[in-house]
Amino acid sequence: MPVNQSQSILENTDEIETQRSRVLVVDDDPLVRKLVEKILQRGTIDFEGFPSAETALEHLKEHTPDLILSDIMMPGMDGIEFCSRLRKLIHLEEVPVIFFTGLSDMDALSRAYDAGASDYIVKPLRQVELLSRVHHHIEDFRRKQAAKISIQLLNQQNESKTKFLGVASHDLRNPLVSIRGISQYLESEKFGPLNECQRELVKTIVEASESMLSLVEDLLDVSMFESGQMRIQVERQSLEALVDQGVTLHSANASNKRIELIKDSRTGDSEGDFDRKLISRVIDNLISNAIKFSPSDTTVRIVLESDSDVLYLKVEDEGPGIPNDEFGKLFKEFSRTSNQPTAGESSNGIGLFVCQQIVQRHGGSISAENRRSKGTRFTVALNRIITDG
Amino acid sequence: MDKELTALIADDEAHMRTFMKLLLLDLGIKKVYLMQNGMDAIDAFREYQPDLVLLDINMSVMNGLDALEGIKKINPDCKVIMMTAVSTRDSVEECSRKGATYYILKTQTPEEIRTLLKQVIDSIGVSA
Repeated sequence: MPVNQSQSILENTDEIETQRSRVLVVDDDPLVRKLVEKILQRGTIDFEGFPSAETALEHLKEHTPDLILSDIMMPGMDGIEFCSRLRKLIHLEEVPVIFFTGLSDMDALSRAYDAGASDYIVKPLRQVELLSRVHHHIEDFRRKQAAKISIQLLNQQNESKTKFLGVASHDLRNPLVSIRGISQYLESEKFGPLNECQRELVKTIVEASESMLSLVEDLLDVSMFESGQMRIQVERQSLEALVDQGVTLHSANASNKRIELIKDSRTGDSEGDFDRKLISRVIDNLISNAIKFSPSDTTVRIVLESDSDVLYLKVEDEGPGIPNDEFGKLFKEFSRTSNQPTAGESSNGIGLFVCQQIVQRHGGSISAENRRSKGTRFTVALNRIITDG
Repeated sequence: MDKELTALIADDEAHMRTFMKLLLLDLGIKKVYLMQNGMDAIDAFREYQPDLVLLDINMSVMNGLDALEGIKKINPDCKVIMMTAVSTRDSVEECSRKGATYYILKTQTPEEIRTLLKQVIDSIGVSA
């Protein structure tokens, strides 16, 4: 599995090898270069020495060392200028650069950090200090490089997962629509009567295809959101009309569970700009969730409120409420709270994620809270006018 | 309705053929002929002269657009509804240029598809 492969990259970063690393050293003093070379050799690190920033830069155009050591004060280009120039080369953006410095030019240090230095070592150079700093920075550098590669890999994997999700759900959708449609015709007995047992079987097919279809549609939405393809088609319309549709759609479900579904409109004007289909999905999702997680003989109330700029849709139930430590899971993709549907309904853990994406795409917000009396309240706030964003 | 209407469906997916057939029967069509590709659709059209034709765009052997052209050559007045899972502006335009009456997206809800079919069938009933 490719995912495991990338995990192992992350896990192995503790044991980064620094032997056979290549360190580039710039110092106009040949004695310093000689000394550094000797010390690095003891640490089995490869050394490349340059007497000036100019010659080093020329070499660096084509090479990427694991670390650069440089003097600050040099004839011609100084170390700080050298550092800021090499940082502009894309392949050297993150290579660690350590300066040699005397105690006297401490004020040059702040300029060196501005130019992109990683660290400094005070002269005179001591073997233990030099080697340990070099090892530390190379390790750090390699770890970052490894992390970067694994992030890239994970992003690619995530993208192909999204693509797969889209293709798979698209191809699953049409046959499912047919299966549901055909079995609904069977159930309606328009083309001939069913016996008791057959009726039971067909009912199972209808229900299973319905819940699969809603899962597939949610998956399609997720892949659209993640690939940035979700477009909303906004038109001026009444939120209350959509709520009425939602209530009608779910009234049978509700009464099957002896749940009272009540619309409570506290606004005379619920007109706003939104995508009819998408906001219907939100309403649909919230109402079906409320019914799903409510025990019998309770009420689900859909409240509409408004002020001059914002429309509020609240769905309140009298269920168990959301466990306090599980609010974080609510709007997350593929995650469920520990609450269980009360009549064995299925729940795929995507619905609320989809709702949140839709509402946010409209520039609105969605939130959940436990009511003081009992149950949960979901609140959707939608601006009447969508400002571009 | 004075006349018993007939229809022809060409789609390479069996479930779509079956489901669309049920919708049409439910809407009062008396006989529905089923074909799997555009070539067979043209032959069947010539033989049965149905009042309404539903053509999937993406089919093997001969696609729906070519079949549309062939059918329109036989009877320019025939009502043809094109069906597709994926629509683009170009494909919609091509269909209407070639004489299709309506365009069904398979992603539309069955209710929407049913309403559209009913409109077309009612219009045939009136003109027949």
